[in-house]
Amino acid sequence: MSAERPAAVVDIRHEVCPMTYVRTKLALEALQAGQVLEVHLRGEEPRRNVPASAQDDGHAVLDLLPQADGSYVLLLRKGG
Amino acid sequence: MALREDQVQRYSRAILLRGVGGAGQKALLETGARLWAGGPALLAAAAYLGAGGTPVEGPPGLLAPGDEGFLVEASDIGQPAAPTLRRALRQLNEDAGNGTEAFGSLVALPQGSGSPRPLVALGRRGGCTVLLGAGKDACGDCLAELCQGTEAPGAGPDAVQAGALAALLFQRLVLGLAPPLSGLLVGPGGQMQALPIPECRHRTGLPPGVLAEAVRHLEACYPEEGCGVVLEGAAGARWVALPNAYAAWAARDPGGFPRDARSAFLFDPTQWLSLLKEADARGERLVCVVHAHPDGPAAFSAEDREQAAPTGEPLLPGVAYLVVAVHQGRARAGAWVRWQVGRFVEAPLPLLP
Repeated sequence: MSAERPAAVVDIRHEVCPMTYVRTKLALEALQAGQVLEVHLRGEEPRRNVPASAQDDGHAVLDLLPQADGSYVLLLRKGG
Repeated sequence: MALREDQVQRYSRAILLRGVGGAGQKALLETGARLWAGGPALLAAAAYLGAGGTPVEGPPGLLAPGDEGFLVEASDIGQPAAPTLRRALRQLNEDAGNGTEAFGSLVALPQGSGSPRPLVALGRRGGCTVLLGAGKDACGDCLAELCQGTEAPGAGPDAVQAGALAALLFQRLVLGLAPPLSGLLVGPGGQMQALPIPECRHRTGLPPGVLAEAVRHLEACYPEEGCGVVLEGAAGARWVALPNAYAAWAARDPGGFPRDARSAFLFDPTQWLSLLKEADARGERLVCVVHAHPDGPAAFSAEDREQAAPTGEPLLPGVAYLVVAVHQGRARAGAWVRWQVGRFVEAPLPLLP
């Protein structure tokens, strides 16, 4: 897991597409370039699409960590 | 102010788009579009903009036959346009019917190209729809030139397509995704072609060396009005001093030339023609006419305006004027004057130290 402390956390476990990435994108917009966002997500579709969309938008995927309850923690670094 | 939760939900698809996002959607909500005319094309644009959350105001006057469409019912014809449109927009999207502080413009050519920016102008030329978009930094002279020969936009299905494109162009200007000045030609079959945008030749100043030469000449002519021109070609700009022929003409025709060379200037017509021919042969063009106001203001006087546009249209389209106040033989201030959307516009021009 990335040792960097996230600057913000967003929980999209109860959202469905497209709101999963809408919430993530809005959270990323509020950060400075280089800061880390922690995203809590659940389900196959967001696990696949949210990291891909973030990369498409120029952000870096630092980690995607499975959790005991079946959800994931995604760490994104905001691009410049 | 952040987007409200209902706005995040409503505009989620737009927020996802690259170049829009939350910040872009906020800009679309905060930059209104004022319609300066009615007609099916502009009203279609209003509907598309309103659906995207952009507040829309206007147009002035009454709704006319042919305005029926997305927002206007047949029974609305003859009613005041602005309040009817506001009501219809609020039903479509409450954000679009709400006021805002900043407004750009949607205009129907040939009127309105001087309206507040961002501006989208719609018109018709040679059977095609013309769409012009101008951001805050676009040159007004360039826009006015692009508008020339354009008539009012048409009606029918073409108008709806033009309106949709106009809305898109307005949004792109608000989002900073469109160039400062752009144009699109839409043919009768819907085929689109970008209008070539010529490089701006409406300067807001002169190269320092050229300006220094001009200023030196004007100071040397004091207390008379010095004058000359700046020509520009492939090798750059150059200053050409011209004698002030006013005194000679006044001596020949005192009634026709009642002032003197201290308060008026005149290019000798023979010299003037000869210079223009020479410039033409060298591939140069006239960019600026320069003269001094000895012990007077750096301002384009009523007489200057009359001489530069005696019929209300500039004698030298695209050519700027520089007026330099010379007091006691020293240049004190300059005014840069350009014809912009139907009038001369002055701006102070810093002279060299």
